[in-house]
Amino acid sequence: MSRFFYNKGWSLVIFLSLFPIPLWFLSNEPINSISILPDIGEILALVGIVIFAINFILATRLSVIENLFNGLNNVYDKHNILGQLALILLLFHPIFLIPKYSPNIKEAAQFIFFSNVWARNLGIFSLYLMIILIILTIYLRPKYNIWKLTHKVLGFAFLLGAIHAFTIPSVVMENKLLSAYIMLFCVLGILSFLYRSIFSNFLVKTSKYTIEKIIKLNNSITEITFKNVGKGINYLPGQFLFASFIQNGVSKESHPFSITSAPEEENLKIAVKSLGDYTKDLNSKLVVGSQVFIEGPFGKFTYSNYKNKKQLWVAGGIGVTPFVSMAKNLIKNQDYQIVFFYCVRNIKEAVYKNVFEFIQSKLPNSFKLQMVYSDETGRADADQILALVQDSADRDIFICAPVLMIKGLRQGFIQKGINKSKIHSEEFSF
Amino acid sequence: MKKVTLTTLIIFFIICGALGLSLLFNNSSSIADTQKVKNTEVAGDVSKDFIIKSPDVKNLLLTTNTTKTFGLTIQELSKHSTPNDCYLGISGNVYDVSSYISRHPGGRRTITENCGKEVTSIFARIHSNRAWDILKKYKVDSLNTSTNTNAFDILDNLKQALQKANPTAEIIDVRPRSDYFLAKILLDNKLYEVHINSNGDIFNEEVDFKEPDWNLWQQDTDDK
Repeated sequence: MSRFFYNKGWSLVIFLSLFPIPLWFLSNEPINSISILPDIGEILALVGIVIFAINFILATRLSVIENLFNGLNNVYDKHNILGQLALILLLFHPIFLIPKYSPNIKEAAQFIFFSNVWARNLGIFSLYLMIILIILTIYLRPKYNIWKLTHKVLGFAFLLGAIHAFTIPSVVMENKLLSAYIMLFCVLGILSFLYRSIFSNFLVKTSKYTIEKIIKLNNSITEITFKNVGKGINYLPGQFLFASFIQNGVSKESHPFSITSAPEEENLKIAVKSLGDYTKDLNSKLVVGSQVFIEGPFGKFTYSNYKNKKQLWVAGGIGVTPFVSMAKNLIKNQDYQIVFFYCVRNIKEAVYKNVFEFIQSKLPNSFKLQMVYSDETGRADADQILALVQDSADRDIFICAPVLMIKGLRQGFIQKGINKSKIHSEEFSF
Repeated sequence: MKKVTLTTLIIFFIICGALGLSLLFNNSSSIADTQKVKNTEVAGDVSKDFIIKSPDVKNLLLTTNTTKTFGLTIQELSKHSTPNDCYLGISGNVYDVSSYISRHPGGRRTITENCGKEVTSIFARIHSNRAWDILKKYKVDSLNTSTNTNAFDILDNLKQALQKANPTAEIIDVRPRSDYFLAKILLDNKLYEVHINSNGDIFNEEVDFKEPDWNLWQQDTDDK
């Protein structure tokens, strides 16, 4: 089921981005040997600009988009791939146009360097901006602030590219259907960008909360409890949210956090692990009473979304957070049978062990906790886990852990003959 | 994915670098690809196997004035200078582009600013063969550029004679040179430059097989 939804979004993206190609053939003479390279160059630009626009639409975090891709993390996963793909296509766009003027190097160079044709210069400038921004985005990922900034400027690069597409003399754009199609995506892309990056403060719906409690679970993990000021958000166990803290010394940018409370609890809770500068600031500077704006919830990593009530849960490190929320929620759903592997380095890192032990004592028939300390017994692998769970073939498997651990476990489970469609995982890669 | 992106970026920058370097070291090679097929330098050495047929000028006498008038004059052209009634003079023809203005990929203004004018040089500098094909549809008349001097009439007559002899070709321009006429002709997607002596015989023909680049062509060193 999940695969189906996952493919729905992806197939839609492929269809929409390839759609200009048949339109191009409708509006042009058939490709001949003289014009083949410039023609490919034109097509690359059309597909590239549509993908670029789609990427802005994906980044709106609208629930329609999330449903199409079965989870916001999948949306951002594809967003990452599509951004690079758009850059590749648009890089080849001027290169394929060069042969048109190949006898004259000066003329050819005008496709890569600036000239006196301003419509073309716009396109070139847009492309250079995109190159710089995407390099920054890919290679400076941990610096969340820089990443946010580069994405804002990318909207500007897209706008320039769109103007270029409609001002440069080109015969294909005389086709009304094709130019309307490209125009539609340019407009949607720019609107999406304005919605998410420029006017998000006014347009994106957020709920206001205040910090009620801050508990240090260990040196690096803090649990923050919120109290809703207004209506608050409705969420499912296992989902996550974006929070923006209003406090001196802490960046106002919103960041994603897993929810650790169950929906039936009075207060909303999240867990924060010190990983970068921002989360370190949160753990050291936040005080009770500060305001927080929360957007969400997001994510499809919820055990009760799946019909199979026999499940195997695997958490690695801070990946435990969605399981805290789900385990607490089991008290309302006692017909589930869960085996939970909580994998940490050592007992110090097992900050939620007592919560799970409490639930196990309350629900001995439906929840079984299995601790794995990698300092003592080595990293948990698929063999080790399956050896301890006899009826694993009947169970749906949920994994939330660091990227490499998810990859390893997934491969291991598949090798052991477990159906791909039964393995559900979530990673925070954005 | 990162690796693919990185590879593409490297390819892109290599091409940028190669182009930049060739720009630095190769400033004068703009006509390198023009292929000279036949070139008999001596005027009067007439060869019959040129692709472009010699014009029949027996009735025209290239050295006398003929009073025959045709087409719109520059003055008449200039009356059609509003966006709703917009004529353009391009390489000896008059085109009514009023209905095309809104569809012009290069924007309305580039046309509307030039309505009623002779714009061959502007048009030829920017446009591809496709644009010339589109332009054909809007032809309404030919352009009479004569200013009542003999020389212009001779050129027009020679042009018409050339067109008659080569009905499928597009005669772009005919210009006088010291002791011969130079004609630029588009035939079968190839650009020809022919030299015509005062008997109306073609004695030299050059052809450029590449897609014609009008800028390049006008800088041809032979023309000077």
